[in-house]
Amino acid sequence: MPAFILKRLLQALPVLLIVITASFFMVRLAPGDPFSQERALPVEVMKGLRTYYKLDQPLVTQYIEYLKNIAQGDFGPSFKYSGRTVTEIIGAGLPVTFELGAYALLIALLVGISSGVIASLRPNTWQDYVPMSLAMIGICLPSYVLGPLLVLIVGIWLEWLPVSGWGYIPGDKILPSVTMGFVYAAYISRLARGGMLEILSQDFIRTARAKGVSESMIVLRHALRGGMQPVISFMGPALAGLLGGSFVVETIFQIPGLGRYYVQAAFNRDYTLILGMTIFFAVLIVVFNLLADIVAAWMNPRLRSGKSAGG
Amino acid sequence: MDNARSSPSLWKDAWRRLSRNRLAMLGLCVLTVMVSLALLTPWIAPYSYSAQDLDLGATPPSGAHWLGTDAFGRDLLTLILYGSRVSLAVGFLATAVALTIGVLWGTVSGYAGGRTDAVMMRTVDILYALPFTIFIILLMVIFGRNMFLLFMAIGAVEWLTMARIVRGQVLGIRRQEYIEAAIVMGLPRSRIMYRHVLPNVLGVIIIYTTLTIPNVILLESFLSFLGLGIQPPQSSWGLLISYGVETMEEYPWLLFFPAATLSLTLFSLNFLGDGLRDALDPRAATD
Amino acid sequence: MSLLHVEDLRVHFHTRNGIVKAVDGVSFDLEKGKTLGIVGESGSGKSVTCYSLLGLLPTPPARIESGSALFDGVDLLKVPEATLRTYRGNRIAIIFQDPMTSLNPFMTIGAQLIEPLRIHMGMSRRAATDRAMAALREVGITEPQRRMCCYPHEFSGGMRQRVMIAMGLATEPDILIADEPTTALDVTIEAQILELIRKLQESHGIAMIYISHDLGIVAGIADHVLVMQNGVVVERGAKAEIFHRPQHPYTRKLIDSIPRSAKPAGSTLAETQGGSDFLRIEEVRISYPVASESLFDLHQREYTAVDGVSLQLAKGEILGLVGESGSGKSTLARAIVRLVDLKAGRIRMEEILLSELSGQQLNDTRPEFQMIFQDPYASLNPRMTVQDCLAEALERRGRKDRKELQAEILALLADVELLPEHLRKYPHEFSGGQRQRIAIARALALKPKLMVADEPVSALDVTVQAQILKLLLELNRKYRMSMIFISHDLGVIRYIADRTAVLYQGKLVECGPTERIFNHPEHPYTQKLLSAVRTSRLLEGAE
Repeated sequence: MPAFILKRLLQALPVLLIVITASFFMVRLAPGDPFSQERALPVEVMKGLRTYYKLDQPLVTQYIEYLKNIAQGDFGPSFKYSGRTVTEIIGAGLPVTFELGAYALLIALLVGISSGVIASLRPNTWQDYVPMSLAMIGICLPSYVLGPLLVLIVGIWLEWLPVSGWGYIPGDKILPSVTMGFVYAAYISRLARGGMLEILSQDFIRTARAKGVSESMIVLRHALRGGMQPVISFMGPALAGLLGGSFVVETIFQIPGLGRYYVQAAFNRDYTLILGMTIFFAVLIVVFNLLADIVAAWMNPRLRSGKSAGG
Repeated sequence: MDNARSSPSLWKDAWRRLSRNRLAMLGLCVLTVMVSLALLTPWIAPYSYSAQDLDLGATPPSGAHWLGTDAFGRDLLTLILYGSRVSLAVGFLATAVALTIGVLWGTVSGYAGGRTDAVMMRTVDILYALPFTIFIILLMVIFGRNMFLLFMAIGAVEWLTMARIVRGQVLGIRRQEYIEAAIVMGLPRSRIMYRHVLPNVLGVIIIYTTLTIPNVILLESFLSFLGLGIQPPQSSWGLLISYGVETMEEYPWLLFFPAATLSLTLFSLNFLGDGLRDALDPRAATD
Repeated sequence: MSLLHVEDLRVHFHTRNGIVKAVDGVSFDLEKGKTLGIVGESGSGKSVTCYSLLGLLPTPPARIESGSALFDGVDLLKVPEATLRTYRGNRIAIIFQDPMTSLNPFMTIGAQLIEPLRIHMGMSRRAATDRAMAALREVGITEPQRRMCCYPHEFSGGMRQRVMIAMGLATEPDILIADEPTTALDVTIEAQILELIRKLQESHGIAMIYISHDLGIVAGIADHVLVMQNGVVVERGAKAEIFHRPQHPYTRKLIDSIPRSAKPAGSTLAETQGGSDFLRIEEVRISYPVASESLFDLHQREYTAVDGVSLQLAKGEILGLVGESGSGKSTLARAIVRLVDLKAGRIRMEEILLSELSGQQLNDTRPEFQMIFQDPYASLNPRMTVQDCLAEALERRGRKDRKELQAEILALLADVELLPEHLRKYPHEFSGGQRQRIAIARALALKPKLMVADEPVSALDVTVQAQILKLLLELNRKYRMSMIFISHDLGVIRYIADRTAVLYQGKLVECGPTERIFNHPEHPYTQKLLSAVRTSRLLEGAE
């Protein structure tokens, strides 16, 4: 097990290096810089700023310098939010984004797995069609459509729930979490149904039935673990997607999370912030993928142990 | 014992199964209509694309403007029609890019096996691990909202899945005894690929193409929504939705109709894809 | 009063293509402590009969149209599901065919074993564990304490079937249904499992229904036999009667199809006597790296499948290659036709050094040696008609004009006894036997000097198997083709092979004229193989 994790971590290193290098040069080679948009600063001031931020040095020198800094965990100061470091900004946005993602994931797993399992028990009946149609709606209603619709209907017309902010008024966390979780619930529901159908058609389910195991125990004890394999392998991409999806949801609901900072930083050409956040996201995604693989392997006895006792 | 059934070919069989699937057929019809409308837009659009009527402003659906008008007095139906040209074009073209790279990469990797396969798939793994959404945002912001870059970026994301799926299929088929029989016969590699491997992965390729198009359309509209995709004066569904969101309290129809069009298209494609998956499932062919 | 009384059972499958009468009026009685054998080929309804008693059929499409099954004063076909559940795995247990897929891979052996005990006998976890371990010991599994915590994939096929048996018998059922419990196993393992079942049945005094396609096995184990064909019982009687005085033509055909006699007289080609060396296999070793099953294991191991095997084959001779799974027989076959590379050794066919060929040279020589594969469902391209398939093979020897090509295709069809109207059809429209004929025709089209047949009849029903074997013998005579015939079935080998080679764990243990091997086996392993077949099947020796 430790060898496996080590191997995967080693594989992640080149990925991260590519991300860092590509984003660094992409940002630097693009036209414009963080100060060019502000109204005509005096030439000396510009020059001073550029020297201060070491923008006047050769690109490669800057790149090596940057690598050295991030190796020590220093992502540098933000260009736009003067006086704040990138690390501080990420640190401020992270808890919000994580909390949002965690709620969304919880909703997605609860709704997705239960509806998918229910659908798989009576395929091609209304018990299957209703959740699967809902799932299809979920897949075809992207968060930037679903979010505004929920805001309009639940928030503005019915006035049931607040429509913006995060932790300011009770209940303001509900709509964003639902908006973000719904799509994933839809995917998970379809995967869970497929996985369960596959497992329920296996010979060993017939064995369980022949032993006199009740239908509910067949589902819970015999089928669920195998049937959830596709869901588990989807967790890696899902977690990455929940982070990416936060751009839209955080914009719609005006939530001060990482996603909003990121889009703003990109528009502002806040070099250090863009780079810092890109790298941070990449690390998160790599780590989540790794975790998902480990969980998947742990859930499957065939992958967990390599020994095969003969006889 | 001869339980032979008389049916002309597997493709006809698949079509028969598909045509029995009402949802899939409905999807196919909607798509056909949607694509025809998009192609014919310049001739059938009720108003000119640039026609504005600032005095009129935003009006709800009426006899003159079936889907209403926006704040500049532009006809929403016309905007959606022109938007569909862009959104569908992006959907089909980027998918074609992804398809070409993915199928070639996957087939070669799966068939060659060994070291070539390992290297090619390692590459895909590494690319997979890159945070693409973030990259695309970065790309769009920095290099401007450029259609060509958009295609490249979307194609670059989507071919990975296609390559993985095709490789998996090819690997499975390669182990089939009829491929070994072809090898033992001494048929040239190219002929084995063309006559024996490709016809048997075609079903899967078609299915995933149908399912990739909605992904691409979603991705484009996501970028347009963030203000990073298509830019005015051009229009796309994502762009229209993002305008609709800004004014949804006053003019809800500006959100509703573009969103409905997008969702309807995605529905159709997904239902068709699901239907194809069932119809082309090799296991279903033997029942 | 019999233990189980089944009367006029009818089970129909309502499919889109119409109603299939899987079981159509079956009646039988099962006495306490006795064994009822049900024999039939695939589709005869033998398994459906038993599954319907336990409510294990998927409904729909299956529907029990009529009949009754009285057990203990209760009609199993009429009681509610909840009541039936208290019988399943408690009073009536069942062992399935494939031990590889019948155990839950996500649960430990122990968890699966104690389940019926906890459900039906209300035992505590401790008591159930003790009982389960006792059951494991009884089926001959050592160290039950440790084995309880293992997962099924850590067990071999034979061990898994032992676990299945332990699971079935732990609750002391009145009836045990065994559905082809040894079909997926090697012959030596098969003999052990059959012996075990017989012993346990006797000591527990259980009534058993034994289902098999193999009349020999059923005749060996059952007191009473039903022969089924297309959902109907065509013949019933005491085992000796059925086997020695079959009344129904189908039963007779089944018995005649069992390949158990020596090679038909006059079917050996004259030139094989000379022992000329047409094919020489010298000191062949084949090994490949094993992809580790575990994700967490970084070591790569080598597995030696074939270890220093030398064989010769005369022109026109049929060499039988026998062995159990893991013996390396298929790997060797694949190496001969160059689907697998050798690690060491040489293969020479006439003047050509096969094992050294490569690239274009290899491709040009390939038509000389062809292969017939095991699975007729996988060996034909599903998207090519018979016409396309045969034309492709024929044109491998150079392009031909249409008329000539068509004539050759028709000649091939005649060789394998197929009809011209079959040409336009796709493989999925044929039965297994017909598909194997198509595959044979495709191989013949290249006019090979050597034919390697890898278990070509093991996926076929016994009556079809007999036809294909006959066909292969005829073709061997007609075209003077040398053949290497691989099988795990000793009866098949005895019927077709001139000489037989026995492989065991990658090594050649014995090789000689077939009759000599069968009558005077020298190596202990060969003796073990042959005695395994004799003890599990009632064959010619049972008077």
